[in-house]
Amino acid sequence: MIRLENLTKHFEVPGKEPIIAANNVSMEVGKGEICIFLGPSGCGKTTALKMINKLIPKTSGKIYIDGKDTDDLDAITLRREIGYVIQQIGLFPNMTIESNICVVPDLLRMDKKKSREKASELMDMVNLDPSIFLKRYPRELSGGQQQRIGVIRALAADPPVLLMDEPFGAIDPINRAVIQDEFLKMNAELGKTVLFVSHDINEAIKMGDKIAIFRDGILEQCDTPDEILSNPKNSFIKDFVGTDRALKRLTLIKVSEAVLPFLAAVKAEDSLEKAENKMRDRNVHLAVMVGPQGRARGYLTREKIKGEEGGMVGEYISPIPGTIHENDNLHDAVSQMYVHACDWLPVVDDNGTYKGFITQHIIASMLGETPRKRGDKIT
Amino acid sequence: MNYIIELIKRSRSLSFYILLALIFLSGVFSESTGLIKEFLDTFDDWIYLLRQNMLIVFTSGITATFLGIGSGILMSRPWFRRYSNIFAQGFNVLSAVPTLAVLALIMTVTGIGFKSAFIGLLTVTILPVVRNTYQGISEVPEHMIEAARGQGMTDQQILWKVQIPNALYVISAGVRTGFALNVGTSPLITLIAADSLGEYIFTGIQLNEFNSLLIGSLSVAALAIITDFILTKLQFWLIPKGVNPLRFT
Repeated sequence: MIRLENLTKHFEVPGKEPIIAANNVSMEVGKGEICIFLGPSGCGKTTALKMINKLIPKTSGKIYIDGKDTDDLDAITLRREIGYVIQQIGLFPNMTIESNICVVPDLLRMDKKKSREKASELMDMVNLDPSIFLKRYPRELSGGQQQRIGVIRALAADPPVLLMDEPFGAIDPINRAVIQDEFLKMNAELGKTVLFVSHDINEAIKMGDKIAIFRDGILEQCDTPDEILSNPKNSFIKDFVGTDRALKRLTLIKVSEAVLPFLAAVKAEDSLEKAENKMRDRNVHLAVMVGPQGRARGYLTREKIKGEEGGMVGEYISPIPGTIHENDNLHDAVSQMYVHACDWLPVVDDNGTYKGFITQHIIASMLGETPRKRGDKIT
Repeated sequence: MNYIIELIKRSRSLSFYILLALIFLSGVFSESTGLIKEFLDTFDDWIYLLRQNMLIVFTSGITATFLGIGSGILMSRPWFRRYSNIFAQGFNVLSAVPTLAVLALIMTVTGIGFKSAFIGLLTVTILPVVRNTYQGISEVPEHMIEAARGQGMTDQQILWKVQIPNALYVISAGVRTGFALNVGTSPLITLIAADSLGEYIFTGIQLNEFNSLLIGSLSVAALAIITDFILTKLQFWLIPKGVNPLRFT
C-alpha cells in the first residue's frame, strides 16, 4: 500500500555538514495495517512521515502509495487524499466543529449534504453526540474531545491513508487510553492504512501491527511488535524497548489465548471422588466450583481434599481469589495475580460466566514458546 | 445617618434622580451662562460643521481601514516577508510623529482644504490598522497553518479561510484604535482650513469664548463616544463567534 524506497533527507545547514534526517529508508506497509514510527526525538521519524505528504520535500528516494509514484502528483492533490492528524490538533477556531470536519470534503467540492451526514456518522463512532457538538466551536470542547475531532476530520473525505504525528501525545494518560481504544475499534471497521509517529513504546505495542524503530535517520528495525520485543535486532533496540520487554510482550497476548478452557469445573453437589478424578484426568491441581448460572463460586485443590472421603465439593471450597475478563491481556492478568497474591485466576466473559482459568505457569511457558532466532547473543 | 447611607447604597432609583438633578442643574448652568442661547444661535453652523466632521471621519476612516488591512495582508505574505520588517519599523516611526506635525507636513505638499485633511486623517488612522493586521496574521499559530497545509489547502485558501478569520479580532481592535485617533484628531484639521467642529474650539480659544469652546469640545467628545459605541457593536456582531472573545461564554 505504502512503499518507501531509499528515502533520504538532508537538511542543509549553512557552513556545516548537512544534517541527515532520513538515510535510505526503505519499508513497506500493507493495506489496513497500522505502522508505528518509533524512536527518540530527533531520530527522523516525523521527517519521514512529513515527506510522505510532501510537507517536507525529500532529497531523494521514492514514495509509492497504492503503487502510484507520489512524484507524479502535485502536493495539494496528494494531501487531500491523505488524512493528517497532528499533536497540537490544529482545529480552526473560526469554524464550527461541523465545518472543521468537512474541511477536506469542501475543498474537494464534495456534496455538502453527504459530507455533513458523514460528519455525524464519524462523531457517533468516537462517542460524541452530533446533535450537541456539531454546531459548537473548538474552544468549547475539552482537549480529548478536540483530538477526537482532529482524528475524524482526517477521515471525513475517506482517504485510504492516514498520517498521524504523535496524535495522542498531549492528552492525559486516562483519556489517551480511551482514545487509543476508540481509534483501534474504529480502524478495525474502516481498514485505513495508518502511519503513526510515537515516542511511547507502550503506545506502539498497543496500537501497531508493525513498529519501525528509527535512530539518527536510519530505520533500525521494522517488524511486528512481538518480533521486536522477542528478537530485538541490536543493542539500541534492546535498550529502547526496555529491560522489561518480556513483560511488555504480555500486553500483546489476550487472556483468551492462554486460558485453559472450561476445565475441571465441578458443582457443589458433586462428590469429592468425582472432583479428584476430574483433576487427575485433566492433569490439573485445582478445580473450580460453578454455580447454577455458570459463575465461579469457589475452588478446591488436590492437596486440600487428599485423604478426605465421602464428602461433597460444596463443603471444601475456598473463595476464589478474583476474576479476569477473557478480553483482558496477560499483563492485566499477571497484575491481578499479584494483587490477590495467587498464582492462578478464573477467567470470565461479559456475563460473568466461568470460561476456564489461567496460571502463572502457563503464562511463563507461553512467553518461552516464541523461538529466539538470533538467540541470546545480542550485539 | 447610617440609614440614609444604606438607602443611597441600595436605591437604584435614587441614583437615577441624582442624574436627573445633575442634568437639570447643568441645564440651569448652561442657560445662565448663555450656552444654550449660543448653541441655538449657531445651530445651522453646528449642523453643517458636524456633518462635515462626520463626513471626513467616515470617509478617511473607511479608506484607511481598507488600505490598512490590504497592506497588512501584503506585509504578511511569505514573498514579502523580508521587507515587512522595514515596513513595520517605518510605520512605527510614523506613528511616533505628532499628528499636528503630520498635518503640517501634508499641508506643505497638498496645500490646504479637505484633501489635505483627508490625507492627514488617513495617515493617522492607517497606522494601527496596518500594525494590527500584520500582527494578527503573523500570530496565527504555526500548527494551525500546518494542519491547513497538511489537509491540502493552497496558500490563498490558508490566508482566507484560516489566517484572516483568526486575525479578525486583532484587526478590529486596530480599526477601533484608528477611528478613536481619527475622531480625536479631526478638530485639528480646522487649522489647515477644513471644516470640522474644531472651528468652535479654536474660535473659543482665540476669542476667550467659553461657550463656543464648550459646544465644540462636548460635540467632539459625543462624536468620539458614539463612534466607538457603534464600532464596538459592529465588532461584537460581525466577528464570528468562534474567534470573538467578546462572545465567549
